[in-house]
Amino acid sequence: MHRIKTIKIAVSYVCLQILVGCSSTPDHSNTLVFGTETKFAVDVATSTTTQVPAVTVGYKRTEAIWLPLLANKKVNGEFEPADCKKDSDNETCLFKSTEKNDAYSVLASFGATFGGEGEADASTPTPTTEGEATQATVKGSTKASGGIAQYFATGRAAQILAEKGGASVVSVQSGNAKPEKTTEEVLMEKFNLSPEQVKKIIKEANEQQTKNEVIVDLVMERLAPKGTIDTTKTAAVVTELKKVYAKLGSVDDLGKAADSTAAKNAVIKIVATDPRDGEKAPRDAILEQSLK
Amino acid sequence: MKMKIKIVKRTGNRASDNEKAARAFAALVADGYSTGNITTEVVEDFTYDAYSAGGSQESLDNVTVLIAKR
Repeated sequence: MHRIKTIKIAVSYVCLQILVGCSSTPDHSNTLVFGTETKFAVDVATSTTTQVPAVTVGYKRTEAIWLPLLANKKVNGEFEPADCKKDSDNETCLFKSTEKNDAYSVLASFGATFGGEGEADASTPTPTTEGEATQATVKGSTKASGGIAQYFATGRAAQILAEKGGASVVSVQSGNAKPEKTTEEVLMEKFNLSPEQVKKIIKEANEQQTKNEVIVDLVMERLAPKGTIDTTKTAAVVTELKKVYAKLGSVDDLGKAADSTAAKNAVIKIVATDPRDGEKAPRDAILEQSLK
Repeated sequence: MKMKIKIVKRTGNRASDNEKAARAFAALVADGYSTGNITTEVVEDFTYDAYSAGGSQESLDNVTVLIAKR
């Protein structure tokens, strides 16, 4: 009987960061040049004689960005941001990012996890007293993991990633991770429904969602024309809805809404509320009352 | 985080109850909630207490509770 163990891991990760000055202000340039190069390899292997699977992963990437910066200036020996060039209206600093124009926001994330493991047990045939060989047994296990979660975003992309949670775009998963089930699969399993029933339910739900959005817009056009809440009209609608939906908290919220944003939030909730059995849907009632 | 709770009345007709719960589930998905972030529980005695938060306090029998997060 012999035992073989082999563990072999090779990992190389290189991150290169370069700041290059290329303007007249040597202490703080007006340009950021940034680049990374990543090489990653995992080789997890056991003895070839045992036929236990070996894992080999290779990966190579290069990325670079060029980013404009507002350079520093030196005042009385101290560094300060340079004077900012104004736009044509002479009002806004050209380096100030807006929701539409942005070349200066930066968001970066770096991370890497690696690992490897290999093991194999092999037993050679052993003769029994009757002269017959017992069956050879081979055991083995091989594990490998890896992951490079990295991005570098600039401008609007950086703004959006920061708002939406950039980490979600670089989640690292095991290669064996099961993909999330589709809505169809979940509904069929959870509620024991046929594929036809599920398709119909999903289609109707999506259509209703679209209808709800249209109803919200129509109602808001009446309750807050041009974005300004019509308190008299809104109060009248709330009074009528309270007669039917006394316990609907979002109707109270609409009554208390001080501006169109608060009113819209309440309307969205009213429109999304499912009716009780035999009751008119709140979405239909609010639309009807708003259009009066 | 945003959370939405939907509570669907159960009548005892399994097929009908399942379909109603499925509709509520599909509505949550259509509203942008991920299927993996929606939990579903069949509850015999459900108490909803939002009274201290300015809401209401309710007690309901035989309902399906769907909790969605994002």
